[in-house]
Amino acid sequence: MTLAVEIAELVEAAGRLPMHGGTTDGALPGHPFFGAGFLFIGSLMVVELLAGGVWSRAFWRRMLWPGALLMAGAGMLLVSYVQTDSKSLHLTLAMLLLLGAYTEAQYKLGKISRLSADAFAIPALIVGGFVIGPMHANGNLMYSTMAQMHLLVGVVAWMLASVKIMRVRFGPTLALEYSFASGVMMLGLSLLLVQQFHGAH
Amino acid sequence: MGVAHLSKQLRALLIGMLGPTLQAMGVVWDLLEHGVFARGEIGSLTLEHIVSGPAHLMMATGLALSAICIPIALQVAAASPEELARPEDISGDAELAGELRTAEAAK
Repeated sequence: MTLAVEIAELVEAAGRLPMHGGTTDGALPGHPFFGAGFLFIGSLMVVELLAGGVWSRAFWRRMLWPGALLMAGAGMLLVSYVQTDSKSLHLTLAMLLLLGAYTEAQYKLGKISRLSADAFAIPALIVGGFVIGPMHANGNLMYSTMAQMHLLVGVVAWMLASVKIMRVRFGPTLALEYSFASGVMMLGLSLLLVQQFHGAH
Repeated sequence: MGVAHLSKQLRALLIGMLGPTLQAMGVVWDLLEHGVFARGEIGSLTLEHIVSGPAHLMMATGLALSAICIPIALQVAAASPEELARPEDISGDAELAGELRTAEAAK
């Protein structure tokens, strides 16, 4: 049957992809843990929107997003210390994450406005997208799945920046808040896909 | 229907189901990897793969999310509509009411 043959060919072609999820040949498996972290925190941001005022009953819940950025920044510092290659790229990401944690914490504590926090977040997401996307994507974009997956992470970061820009332009709407939260989930998923298709660091 | 107007039961259901949904997606991903795409590797699993495999981490994320979200889902189910409203929703509703009043007055 034609359809069965085509599906079999499709499965065979997919099987030839460089898939070895979880095997890093001794390198530090950073991508999957950062991916799981962003997937987790993005899911909690969706829950925050669904829960409304109930979410703010606990102080630690309000500080979850800056806390997650702080942990991610500290983790990225560790990666840039341990990893032998791309040290400057990892260090740049670590600095962006740590500064992002600081500004988001200031916003959550009521010390600065959302606009002031976004004045840092938007350029940080754009620069971060370039660092983790085109600059970190080792290999030919046309033929290397690894390079394409890295680029996907960068594109997701730019998408998050565009959501923030729309928030500044049109004001806060629930749709934009949900877009940002699900975008953070997508960032996590894209990092998990990097690990699935490539593995190293 | 806007998300702001979801009933509290539906909100609680969505919050409670988010973790199990992620776990289910992780299971499907793992089954696809080991059952369809890389069947030959099932006999040579390593501890590294078990700990850092993307599908396994997605399942773990879903499990942690379930543990955190179930109490929140219960609180949401028991909350009043005022407690569920966010400050942005309240201001948005006020603006909408104002626009409706203006439209009524123009008739």
